[in-house]
Amino acid sequence: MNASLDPDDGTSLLGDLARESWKSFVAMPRWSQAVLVAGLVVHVAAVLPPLAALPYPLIGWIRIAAFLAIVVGLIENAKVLDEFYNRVYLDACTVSVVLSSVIIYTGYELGFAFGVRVIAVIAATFVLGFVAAFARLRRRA
Amino acid sequence: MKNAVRELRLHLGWTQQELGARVGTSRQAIIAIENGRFDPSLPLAIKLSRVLKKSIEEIFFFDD
Repeated sequence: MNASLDPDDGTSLLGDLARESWKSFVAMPRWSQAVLVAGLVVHVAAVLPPLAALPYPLIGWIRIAAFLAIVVGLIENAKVLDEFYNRVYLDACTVSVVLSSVIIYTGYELGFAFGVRVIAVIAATFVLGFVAAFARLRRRA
Repeated sequence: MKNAVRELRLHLGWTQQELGARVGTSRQAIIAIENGRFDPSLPLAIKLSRVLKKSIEEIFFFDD
């Protein structure tokens, strides 16, 4: 197909990803937008002063609440996506389960204590899987 | 599975965004369908069939 006949071709991967992510955020119910934003803000704030200076277990419960808010927000975000993005989510989850289990198991056997950073491994492999699935599904077969 | 979505859409003079809006899905879904990377669900295939005014068999076919 001649590119001049199809002006939709040639859009950037990350630009489209950012645009669609924003559109899906806007489509979420107001309460879930507030929960997601609050979770992200509090989670970041909880590792910086003055919140980080709060005594345990109070700061621990604040971080748990913020983390749960992010999870709830992301679940609500997934609900407003169309079947294409559901497929991207599914592929990303598959990549994340396979890759993170290998990384975590390898780390354990080699004596590397991931600790709470195991969450970062899972999140990073999910993001990697999401971008990879998004790119693969856009590419010509 | 192959499909004629791109050709039919261009024949009607619609953008991917416009076709996506008409069937209630994202432009990315249209891109993936046109590129043969994503087979739509039956409800979405029926919506495409209606707006493109072709039968499902005329839009989607096996690459024999």
